[in-house]
Amino acid sequence: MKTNRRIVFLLLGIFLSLSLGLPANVRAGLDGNQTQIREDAQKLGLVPGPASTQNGYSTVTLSLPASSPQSMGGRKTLTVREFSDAGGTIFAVAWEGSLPPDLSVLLGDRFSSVPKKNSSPYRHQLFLRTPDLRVRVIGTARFRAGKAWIPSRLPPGFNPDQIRVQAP
Amino acid sequence: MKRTNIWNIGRTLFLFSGLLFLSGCGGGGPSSSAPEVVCNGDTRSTNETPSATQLTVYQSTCQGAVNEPVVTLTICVPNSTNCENVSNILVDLGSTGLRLSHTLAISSSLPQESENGGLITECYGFVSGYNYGPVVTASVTLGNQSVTVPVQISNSSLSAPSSCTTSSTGNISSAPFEPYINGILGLLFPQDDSLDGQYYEGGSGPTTISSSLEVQNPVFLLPTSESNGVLLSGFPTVSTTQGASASTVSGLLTFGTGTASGLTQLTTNSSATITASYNKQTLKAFFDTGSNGWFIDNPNIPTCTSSSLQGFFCGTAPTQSAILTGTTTGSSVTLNFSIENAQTLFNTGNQDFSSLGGPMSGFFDAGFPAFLYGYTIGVGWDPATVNTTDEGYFLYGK
Repeated sequence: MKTNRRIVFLLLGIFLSLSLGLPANVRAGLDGNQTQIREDAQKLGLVPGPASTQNGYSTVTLSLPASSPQSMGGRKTLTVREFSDAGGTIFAVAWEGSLPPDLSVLLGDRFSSVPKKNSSPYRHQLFLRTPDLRVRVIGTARFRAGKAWIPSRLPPGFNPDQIRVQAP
Repeated sequence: MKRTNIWNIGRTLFLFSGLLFLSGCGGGGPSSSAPEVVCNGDTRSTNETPSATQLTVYQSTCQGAVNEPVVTLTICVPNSTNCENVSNILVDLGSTGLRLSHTLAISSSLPQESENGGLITECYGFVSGYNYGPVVTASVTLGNQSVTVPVQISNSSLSAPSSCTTSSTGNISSAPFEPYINGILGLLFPQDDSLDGQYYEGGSGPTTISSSLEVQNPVFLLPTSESNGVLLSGFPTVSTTQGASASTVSGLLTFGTGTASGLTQLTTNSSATITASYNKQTLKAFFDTGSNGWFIDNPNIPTCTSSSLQGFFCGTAPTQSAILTGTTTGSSVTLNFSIENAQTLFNTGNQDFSSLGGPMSGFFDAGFPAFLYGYTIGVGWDPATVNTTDEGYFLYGK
């Protein structure tokens, strides 16, 4: 009986990991891998720059070309930076601009853990804290900056303050 | 003493329970069974004596909000005597247009706009989330002037179109006004909110509607001398270590920047930002009464570790200085300010804090605390060009 149950769970586990691992279901952004950054850029209408490697992590900056219709001749802006660890897994994203990015792309599967209703009294800030996701967004209706990260995935010695669109 | 501490802790938790936890309920629409909690606070009495072009600004009397400057507006059905004095409307330099809660008695009487045979609704995105609802026409009294203007009704009980609720527009969550505010008076340029809102006709869209039907900053509709911006002045200088009680914090909202002599003009780019030089960094900056803290880039100030104070500084940095510079002209001003431990501030039981802050990389958001140092701060524009350039300016001085 116990063995049967184990087999059922084993099969279920294999099925789940297969279905989660299928390329069609893979969402990039957080938990994605470096090779998916290009797909993120495409979904967001952005162009990825070269990867830049720092101490134990690397980053790619995605920019909105001035020629893009989204940019409305330069009146709208959006820049995104994705951070991946030594194993190539994305553990943090930062963004800023007058165009809010599609967070279902940047947060990947973790987007589903964002509640659909925000009962905060404050309109120009969003602080989200779940056990395994942090999101901070600040700004006006015209310009905002945000960052999201997975606390358990930060490389050793990495401070969330380093999650920013432009290196200081 | 012990009792006071417990009371303060309880009070802090109450104040921030709404701020820090996103409610987990709700899907596309809200729960239909839960009764809506509304703000029942009245207009606060103050010693202000507003002129014909001014309104009194006071600390919100709704529950659970700190550093929340609000006004009371008389809202009428156009060409009628059907009016309501609506208290607790947030004064917001960071959005454009007037928005009212659907829970107000007057809201259901205001005539909804239509075009091409379809009733007009709008989805407007704030950082905290979106508001969806009908666009109506209302007569709004600003000082002694009444203007008739398109206004959005935020109605979280309506089911918003998927193009509003989906993340592709940057919206994450629905952010109802209730119970914290009755409305928002968005005083930022340009005149209409088409840069930030999506419009629908008969539920179809998003689509483009006539610009005269779009939700607008009502200041643009005032007589010429009052239509080029607003000033916020007269707020007390608030203790950086203690904050101040709500009853002592009020000021004036002036329509028109005509009396702005002595103020420095800091020109913005089309995203309504300027530049700050702070802590040896160059940061994007803005003044914003709708932000309740100094959200600034300073990794040296410890942040709060307690989850109920998430997003704030829990370290003390008493002598801070930032130079704010306009984008296209070289004029600049120096802001001297303090950051105090958020826990210390909340423990005072006060509601207005000049030294409340939190971390934000790359940014210098001079929120409502910046207005509590005895300076006049405003936002202005050239009415002849602002609607093509989206550029304006901030004003700062004594």
